[in-house]
Amino acid sequence: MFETESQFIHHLQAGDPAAYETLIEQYADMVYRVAYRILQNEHDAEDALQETFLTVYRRIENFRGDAKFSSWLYRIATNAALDIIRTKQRKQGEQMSIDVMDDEENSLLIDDISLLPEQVLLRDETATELQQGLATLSPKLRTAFVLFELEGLSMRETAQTLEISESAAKLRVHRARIELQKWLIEQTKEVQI
Amino acid sequence: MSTHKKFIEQMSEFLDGTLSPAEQKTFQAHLAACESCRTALDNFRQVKTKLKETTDAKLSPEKRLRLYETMNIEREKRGEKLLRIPAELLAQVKAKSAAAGQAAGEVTAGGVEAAADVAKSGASVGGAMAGGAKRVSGKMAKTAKKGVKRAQKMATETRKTATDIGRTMSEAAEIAGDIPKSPIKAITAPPKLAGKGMKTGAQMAKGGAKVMSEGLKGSVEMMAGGAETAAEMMLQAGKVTKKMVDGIETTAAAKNKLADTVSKSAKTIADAEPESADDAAGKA
Repeated sequence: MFETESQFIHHLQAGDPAAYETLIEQYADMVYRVAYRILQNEHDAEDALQETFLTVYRRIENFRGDAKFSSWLYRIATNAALDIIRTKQRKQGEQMSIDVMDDEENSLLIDDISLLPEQVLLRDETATELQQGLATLSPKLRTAFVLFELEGLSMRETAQTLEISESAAKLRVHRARIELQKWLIEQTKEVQI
Repeated sequence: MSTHKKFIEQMSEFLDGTLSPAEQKTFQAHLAACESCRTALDNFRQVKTKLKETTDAKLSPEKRLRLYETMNIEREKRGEKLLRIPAELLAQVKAKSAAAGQAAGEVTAGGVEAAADVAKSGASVGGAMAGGAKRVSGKMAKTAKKGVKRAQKMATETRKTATDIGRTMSEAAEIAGDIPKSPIKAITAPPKLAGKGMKTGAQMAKGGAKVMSEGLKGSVEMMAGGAETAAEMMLQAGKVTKKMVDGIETTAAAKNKLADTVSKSAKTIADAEPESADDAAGKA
């Protein structure tokens, strides 16, 4: 219906209902999936989905086309998901803020011995356990991992979406991989015990 | 830095394809020689694949419809033309809603049926327990009644024996009292007293034997009654246990039946499709 992305954006900016119908049909699944991967909860993912589309509707006039539309959408969806986490943390009175994570990134330590598994077999039930492992990652690490590893964004796109440098994005993905691996090994040890 | 530690640090760069050609060569050489590092790399890859599968959440028709509705509320505020909700989406939600209603009815009916089966089974167990208790208490009462009768007989025999002994003792006392009155009685009294003593002893032995006999009979009756009561209790407990096992089986069957109904209903809702072209027509 819309031949080019810029034409599509133009119609969105004009408030054309057909453009918004296309927006929902083409991008709602992707936004919901990424929100679910970050939030690990269907109800919260739906809230993030709705907030993302409302934000697009309210701010589309500000979109200049410097980045791909999908990257812009990923950024809005990611921020909507992180906002939900922040709100929850505030309600629960948690001191561990998403925003104080940068210090952790600078003091990355790798315990090489604990990361060399004897043999971790990924059984079917391990897949569900892994999802729990993903939930244990800090929101920043989880978001970087989700965008790069699960959504298949390039490292550059991941960095742009998170509005951080490429090296910082790389570090977050690396740390997330290691944390997940550690978690998996711990789970395997518990099963063996 | 150990080779393993270097490997772990380079693993991400290897997976991202950002190692320099020289680093990649060294990395692959280590990988070829080290089984535990190969396992670690394989685990990294599997983690990614498995997580991709398990977190691939699908947007349900209901959520998609709510998104359209939310957008339309916002557009209405701005006085903009509303979005046209796809007819297929409306039909899907309608079909799921109808299927959910039907499923709720089936689950409720299944639940009522299961509850009735379980209640019936429970009543059967209760009846068996009440019947059993009545029979056991009847046996116990009968035995106790026999015991009381025997105890009464023992008391009667004891009383008779005591009376007889008392009488003989009194006679002996009379004989003994006569001795100072007449010297001849001093000669005849000892044999008489001995006779009385013998008689008392015989009466005591006879009375004791009767009391013992009643006591023994009572004991035997009590033992027999106890055994009979215990046998009745075992019999009734067996009957109650059987009823309880039946009840457990009924409950398990009812639970399975209900689970089947719920499972079928969930599938019906998930597979619900629009019934006719009219349903798929939808509206703006």
